[in-house]
Amino acid sequence: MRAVSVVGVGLTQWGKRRDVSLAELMVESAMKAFADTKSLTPQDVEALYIGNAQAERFQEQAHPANVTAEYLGMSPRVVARVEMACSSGSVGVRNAFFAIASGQVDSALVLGVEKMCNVSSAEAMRNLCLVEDLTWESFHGMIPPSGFALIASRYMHEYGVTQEQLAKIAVKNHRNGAKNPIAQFRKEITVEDVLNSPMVAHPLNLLDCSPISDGSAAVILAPAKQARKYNDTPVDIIGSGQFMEPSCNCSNMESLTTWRALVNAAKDAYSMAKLSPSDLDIVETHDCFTIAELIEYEDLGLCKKGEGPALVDSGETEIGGRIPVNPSGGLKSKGHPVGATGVAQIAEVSEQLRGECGPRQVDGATVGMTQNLSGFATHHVCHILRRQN
Amino acid sequence: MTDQQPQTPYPLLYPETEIKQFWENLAKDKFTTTKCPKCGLLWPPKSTCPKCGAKADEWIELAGTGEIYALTQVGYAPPAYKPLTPYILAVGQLDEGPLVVARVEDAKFEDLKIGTKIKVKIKKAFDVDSYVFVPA
Ligand SMILES: [Zn+2]
Repeated sequence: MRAVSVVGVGLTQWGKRRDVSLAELMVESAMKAFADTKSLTPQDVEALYIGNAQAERFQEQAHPANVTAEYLGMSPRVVARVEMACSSGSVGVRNAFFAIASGQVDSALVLGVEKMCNVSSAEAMRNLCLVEDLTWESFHGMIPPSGFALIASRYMHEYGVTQEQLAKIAVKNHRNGAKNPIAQFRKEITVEDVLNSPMVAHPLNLLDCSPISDGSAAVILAPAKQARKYNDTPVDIIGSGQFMEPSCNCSNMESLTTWRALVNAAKDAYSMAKLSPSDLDIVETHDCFTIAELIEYEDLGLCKKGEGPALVDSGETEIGGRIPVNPSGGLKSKGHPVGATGVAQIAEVSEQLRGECGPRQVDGATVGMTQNLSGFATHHVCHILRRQN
Repeated sequence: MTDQQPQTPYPLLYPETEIKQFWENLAKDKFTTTKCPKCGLLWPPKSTCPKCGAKADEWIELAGTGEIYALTQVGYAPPAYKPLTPYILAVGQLDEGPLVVARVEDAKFEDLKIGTKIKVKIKKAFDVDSYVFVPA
């Protein structure tokens, strides 16, 4: 297997993007990623992966990879649209990683995109509910927030966490996102704001939840040995892990409070990178709901099981703390255009390790991790990145 | 419910499926699931055992009693559920073991907690034979 590097990253403005079509949104992030390389053009790239969950429902556009290829003038020899709901983007990255590592191609563009704001929020919610088991959960009124709310109720029962502690996670991520020029919400919030926001699914309020978003993100990968030809500060992908539980229904997960798929995906990523959690300088996690980030601290090994709430209270996951989590603002503040999220996490960690994040920069970061999930936390993808020496 | 009955919110497997007997049994007021001859009870009902691949064509009736395993109250839901909002949603652990998701009716959210005894109540939802939990 060859070592693989990130040699270009690009993100569009996230939020409501009525000004562009799906294709134009994809072109916007792709051209930024190419401009981030020394000289690569879309015509040079041999592999194309499109992370997109629901263009059929939000745009009535099927086969989005072919749309991208036309708009970018690409003729890829390896191409796939990757649909893994909210983890589509990082599964695209993982596939591109293996395509290059195996020697099949010498360059790959991974483009994540979702354009969700052109339908009503009610229809967007209905679309997202299709990710669950329709007959045994969705039919009974299960929605994405309620699945994580059930998880939260269980966590409160088994280990104890308060709504105030969960709110602190949202407050932190908004504080970080306020410093991120592409973020959907560049506004700081308070614990009171979270506690006083409308109840979505007890104990989760509106400000415990990530938003409906439009946005795109792109990364360009190349073999590590050729990386400096394309970028002066390449970042290597040194670990990759993925795991799925045999469970679509959240009620069939092995445990609601210890996510087996995350523990295993992280274990594989740490093992490939030959690193442990204490080696990480930053982590971008899938904070679709505040309770998710809390459990992710524990299952990624940033603290012991049950100690997530204490880690929140310690402030150690803030920028400047022991292990900053979601310096980008996370899904919570930056936004969650679902197919783009996993690609944007790779872009954020790459820019952090390159030292290019301005006011939200984590000083001296050299190793970072990404974690992206789908379903009711039944599927996870983790990557570990390190600045190339 | 008003005269403007919301449309069935999601496509159900019923009735064209190998497990259509689940809904046929509901119509006879029986809450049932399939059983693998080797691995035991399956939930949700499946016609093939996901653990060993055996045909699971034996139906067993569940007592329908158990306790709340996880609990929430939903305040914002897709349009078809607006008439029900806010509604209580629970994972119930039945006495036979399986974890089942359903709404909880005839109860106040404040009065429920993890461990509260519940039972399955068979009733229609969206004009389809279905079930909810009620306090035991
Ligand atoms: Zn079996």
